[in-house]
Amino acid sequence: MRTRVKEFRVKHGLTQEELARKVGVRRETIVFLEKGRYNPSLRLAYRIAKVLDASIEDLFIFDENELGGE
Amino acid sequence: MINKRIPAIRSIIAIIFLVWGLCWFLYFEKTLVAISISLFFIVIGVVFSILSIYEILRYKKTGEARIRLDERAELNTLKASRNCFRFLFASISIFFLLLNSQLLSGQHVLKILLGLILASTVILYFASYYFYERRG
Repeated sequence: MRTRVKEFRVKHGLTQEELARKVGVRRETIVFLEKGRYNPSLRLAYRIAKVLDASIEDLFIFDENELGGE
Repeated sequence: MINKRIPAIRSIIAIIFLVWGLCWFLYFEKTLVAISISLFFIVIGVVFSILSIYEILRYKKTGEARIRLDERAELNTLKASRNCFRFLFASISIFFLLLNSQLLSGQHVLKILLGLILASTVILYFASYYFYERRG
């Protein structure tokens, strides 16, 4: 999974700590999320998208192969 | 909301460890192993007590609870608990086997399970949690 959270966060002039506080998680979670090492829950993804004024699809980009399924 | 409950949860954990350590100190023979295990539990209890008092004071002063538990931390807690469960299950199975083959007495098995195995499980829990936290 690729994320554009950092890009949108910087665009909004937010630090990792500020974003973490706004969405109610620890800063470390934002760090791992930006590195693409953590898959957030739909609830967290939605909260981040709302704070960063973007859609979930804009922030989290999944590779079709990675998703699997049919 | 859950983060506001953290100091309270930590206080309960601290009391459990302190009671466990005192039980070991007061009710078992004063061997080196028993004293070490009781000290281990008491130290953990004291550390948790200090942390919870600090958090409560901080919360009363600022009205803000530091975010310590989020979904990733909860997930890592669950993973660490799963490791501990597997370890405890394996240990209990092995000691039942030893008990049934009469290699160890029931008293010994109980002592080992309540002391060494429990202490190892606590260490395993913290080590696993730390490992998963570092990994992401």
